[in-house]
Amino acid sequence: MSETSLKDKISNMIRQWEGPLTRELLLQPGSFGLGKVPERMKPDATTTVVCGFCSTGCGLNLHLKEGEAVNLTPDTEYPVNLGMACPKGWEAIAPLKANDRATTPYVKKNGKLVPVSWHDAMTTFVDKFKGIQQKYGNESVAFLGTGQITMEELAFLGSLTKFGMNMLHGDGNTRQCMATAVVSYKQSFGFDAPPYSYKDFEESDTLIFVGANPCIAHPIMWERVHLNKNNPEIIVVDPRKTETAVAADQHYPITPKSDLAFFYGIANQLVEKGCINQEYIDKYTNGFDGYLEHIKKFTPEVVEKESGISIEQQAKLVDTIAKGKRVSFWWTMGVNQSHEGVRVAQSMINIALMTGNLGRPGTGANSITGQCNAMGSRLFSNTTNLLGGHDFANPEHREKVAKILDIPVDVIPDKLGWAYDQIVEGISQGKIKGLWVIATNSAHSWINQKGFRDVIENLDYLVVQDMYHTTETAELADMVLPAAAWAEKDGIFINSERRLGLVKKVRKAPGDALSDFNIFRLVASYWGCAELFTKWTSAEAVFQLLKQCSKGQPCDITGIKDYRMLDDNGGIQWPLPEGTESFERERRLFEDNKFYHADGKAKFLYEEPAKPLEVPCEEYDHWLLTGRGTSSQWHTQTRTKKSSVLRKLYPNDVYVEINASEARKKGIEASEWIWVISRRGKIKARACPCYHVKEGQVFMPMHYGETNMLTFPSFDKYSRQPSYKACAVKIKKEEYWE
Amino acid sequence: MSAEAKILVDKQALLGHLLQEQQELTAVEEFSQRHENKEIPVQQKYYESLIPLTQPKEGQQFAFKVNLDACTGCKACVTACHNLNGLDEDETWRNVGILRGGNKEESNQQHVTSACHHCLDPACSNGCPVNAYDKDPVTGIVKHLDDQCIGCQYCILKCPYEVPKYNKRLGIVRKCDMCTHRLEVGEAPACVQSCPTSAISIQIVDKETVLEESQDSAVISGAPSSEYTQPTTSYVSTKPMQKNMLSSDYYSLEPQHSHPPLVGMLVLTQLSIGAFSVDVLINLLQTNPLISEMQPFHSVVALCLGFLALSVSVLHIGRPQYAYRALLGLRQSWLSREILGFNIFAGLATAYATLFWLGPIENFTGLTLPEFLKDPQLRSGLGIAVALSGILGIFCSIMIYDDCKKELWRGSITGLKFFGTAVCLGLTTILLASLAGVALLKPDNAMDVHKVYTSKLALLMVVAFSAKIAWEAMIFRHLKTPTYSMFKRSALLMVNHLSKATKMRFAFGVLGGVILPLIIYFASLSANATSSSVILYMAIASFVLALAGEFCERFLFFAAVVSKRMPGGS
Repeated sequence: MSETSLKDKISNMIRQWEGPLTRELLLQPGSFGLGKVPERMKPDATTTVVCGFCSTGCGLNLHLKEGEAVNLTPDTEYPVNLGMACPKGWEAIAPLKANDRATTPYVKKNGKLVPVSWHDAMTTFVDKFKGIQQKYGNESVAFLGTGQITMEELAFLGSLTKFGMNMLHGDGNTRQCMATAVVSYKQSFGFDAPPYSYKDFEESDTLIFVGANPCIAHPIMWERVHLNKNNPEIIVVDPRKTETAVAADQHYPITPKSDLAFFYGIANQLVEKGCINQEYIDKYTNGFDGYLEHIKKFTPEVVEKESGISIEQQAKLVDTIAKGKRVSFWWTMGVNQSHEGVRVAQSMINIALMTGNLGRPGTGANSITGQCNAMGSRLFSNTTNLLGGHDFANPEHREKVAKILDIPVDVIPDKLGWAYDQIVEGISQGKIKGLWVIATNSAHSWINQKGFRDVIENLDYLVVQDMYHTTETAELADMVLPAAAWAEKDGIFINSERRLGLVKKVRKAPGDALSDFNIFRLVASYWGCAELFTKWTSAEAVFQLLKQCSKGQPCDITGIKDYRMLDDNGGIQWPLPEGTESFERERRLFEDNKFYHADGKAKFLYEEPAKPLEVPCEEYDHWLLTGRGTSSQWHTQTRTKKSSVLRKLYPNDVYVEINASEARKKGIEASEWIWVISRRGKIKARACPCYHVKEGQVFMPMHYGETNMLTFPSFDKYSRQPSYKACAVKIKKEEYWE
Repeated sequence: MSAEAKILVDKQALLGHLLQEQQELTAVEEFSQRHENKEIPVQQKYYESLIPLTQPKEGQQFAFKVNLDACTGCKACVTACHNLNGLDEDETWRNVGILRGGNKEESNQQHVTSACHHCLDPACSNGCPVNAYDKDPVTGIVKHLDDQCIGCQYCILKCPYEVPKYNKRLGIVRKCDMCTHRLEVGEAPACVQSCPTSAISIQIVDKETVLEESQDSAVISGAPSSEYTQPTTSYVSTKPMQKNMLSSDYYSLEPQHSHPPLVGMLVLTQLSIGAFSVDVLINLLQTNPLISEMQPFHSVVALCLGFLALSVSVLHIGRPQYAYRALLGLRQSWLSREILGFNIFAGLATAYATLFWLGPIENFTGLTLPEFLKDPQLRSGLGIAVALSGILGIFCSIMIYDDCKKELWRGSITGLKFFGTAVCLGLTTILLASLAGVALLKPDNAMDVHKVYTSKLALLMVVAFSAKIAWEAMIFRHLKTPTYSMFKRSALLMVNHLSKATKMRFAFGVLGGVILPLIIYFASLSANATSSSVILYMAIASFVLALAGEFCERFLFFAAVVSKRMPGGS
């Protein structure tokens, strides 16, 4: 037996090699192909759950003890992340354990949120919103959704509000991140269809990242770039020398908002050098001639003047593209969040089309999405299109959906509702009086934050549904509904490469928190429209309905039998029509060069570049650029600030990067507090002098509430996406009396 | 009506159903279990080539290798280390910092991931008073024996790379062990397993080479000199780094941990030793019957404060019940030596103080103690021994900090501070003790005390405090220099982040150590019965202020220390 001899005891008193403290960190073989794991967290089962932060959609292998997740490691065999994860993924469980989780509904009484029962909350919810609708009309209540909840939940939200509660206006925070990509694909290809798979990162020989910083924004996609065996040429087009620009072979620091002219110019030179694929253009595209005419005036001289990139440098980029056999374009928010983002995205699509860089391995004009379920929201949230990429205005589409859902066709509205910014405008004009915000933090993230906070005052009733009762928006709410979080419910997220991945219920939601899905069931019942949703009994049941809706659409997923099939395959990309016998785990679109427009061809789309509505002037003499700070921060930090490990990995205070020689001239020292002032707000940030930003530009990360006090609310006219990336500010040293 | 339909109608039933369903976890039943019985890690295929296949040979050891070209700062390594090792919620053993530099034409940025460097000559181990570190003779991995640790945290001060981390819950330090137990079975350390771009690997290095290369160099730009501990991590890159690559937090100074128990312990031990020494010295230099009459009281005061100091020091230790192990490190650790020194001092001082109270002891117990104990020779001899042992103790205290190889803590600086405190507070304490003692025990002799002690001690105080404070203030001359030296950074911390403590230090010191003693000096020259109580109150005020001033000085000693470190910032 393990009885310690006296000798051992004495020897232990003097020098103890083992004991209870050493055992704290003891490792044990974890089974399940895991290797060693901490003994106290040794799993009795494991299961793969797709991560709930960004759109990369990594598979996380959750370590379960009696069904409950206690730890995790990235899934080695998941086709997305191949055994890796970024810090957010690794720390995904920590935010679930935060002590400010909402565990019960709250209603504001005397300016304070006080706990109430679900029954009271639901009764009040219905009374308030129905009251508003009676007084101001059905359209006076609207909702703001998200790309953070599951596809089934989004479909439920969009259907409940529009079919059951007679709302018309509802939008998601995906408007802030993906709308531009959606519209540009729809216009160019005939459907919102990002054409690539992550395998293309590995197969390309020329990767051009535009307004994208995957090194820290999508580290796992960068992993895939790293796995590229072709010794590829990596190019970054970004005003700032980002982490990715440092790692790249070529960097083109264009003047902010000169991207449209820049790419028209590059296209023009490709044409002049004869580096285009005329056969591809003729066979598979429309509108090239007009485009050719349009880009003629973007001579190297014009482009140099606009973008600040010299003629020689432009020639180098043109040569690189011309030489590349597999050229791929990758863009993120630097393009999407722009006043003319749709046309910028299309300027890259156009180059891909005219050089024949589409539908082949390692090619494409590829939008990297933001949120974990942005694509699910795009296809199934019932906001910008009728479930499954259908058209509200099309009676056949309404008929089809009504039949599948087994609901009267006349409950389906025949027109689109307002976009996010129009809803905010509607509140300000008193047209919207009730607002239901689900899993988004508008009071932090909406452009020109103060404007939003002021406008919100006009509402008669604001309901916020979130996992925390402490978000900036929840604090303004009249009612807070406690939501179960990622991994506390089942459902599907669709990632950037169109992969449907599974979220599973492997943690118990705290207190009386309910999944968004269950909250919607409850609302339907209290509202009195439950008879429309008798088939909506579980997430998987809804998935079966949505499958039917996708039938015959480009995003057809009728070939996916059930959740189990998704699980067994490491997620499945759309499309997968019924009857598909076998399929590759990683597939790209347009290998047959057939696009989704009626004639099967892609379209060249172009327009005269327009100046942004706010540019630096004599007084506000700097561009303010915004973007991701570190890989350990996510959006408004609602979740990432709940992990003490993640908190260690980013600066505590908001900071502003300023050109080092400019800082020297102004006498600004590193880490001192300085003023950043726009026409909309004045905030203090810690100075971070460096040469990554050019003179006349400053950069602030979006995760700090201060940043959106400064941003300027302008929108792309097609996608209505806010232009977060550029506005005019001035910087000032803090005076000693301040 | 079906059950489902019923639920829809009855809202309360639906609510109950949903709340119950929310708590049911079903993933295990619904989904397949992959690799159920597989012990071999599936991740192996990705890290196989990143760890050595063989054990190090004689003269070799394992070491981290970081490919800087591949590291883009995603920080997955930090979180993977945290999760795969089951660390406490806010505990991390790895860190990622940034170097930035370049110029208008070519700006550069480099993330740097670092953990323990498993040094050839580990400072943590060399300072440990309880031998809680073990450098594995084969692998060279520097392991920490968690159950041996008493939580004194000296290794945290010793390690120039800030590797050992204190765990409050357990009262011990913990650190990276290169996932020894993973390497033993051919698995890669957590950080190696988790790097999306394979930037971290384990290699076998030649110790001789590490030693050679550590001469006048640093593992990476800005890091502490490798000469001190000979770290084995190598950072490799194909790109040349600009000359001015600075850690992104290079200019953002942060106050360091102030270690309040150490502040208390150091100042009070120095006070106690100073007081004994001053008293012994006075006794040696002067033959006044009054002095011998006052000594019992003085010695008790000094002893009590000494014991207070030692008990405060225990507060610094996470697991004081194992403090006895602190003698194990005598061969290498100045902390062990200090502890021994102070224990000898405390023993001698107790004996010495007891000698003054033999009469009352005999009266109280009714015993007759041997005559030789009452020999004044023995007493004065013991007095000298107390003073000397105390001075040796202070010397060990100084060496504790000198041995940390921080510029601001080198022996000459620390020595002047620590001995200066002993002299200053020794004088202050005896001044007060003499006045208080006579007021309590022999009020009639108050005038004599003024004559014998007060004026001279007060004058000595003025001299000692003025000198110490003036010397301390000299650090501010660095504020004007263009070089961003450690002295300048420390001075900047003192006038910015720590300005309150700095102001207090100088205000209290000047008031309690210079101005009040001056007044006391003049007052005591022309003292009379009424003024003597005023002098006593002034002496109390002077003592309190001077002591507070020294506490502030010692707080700043810890909080305003700056030294080279691994790249930080995020």
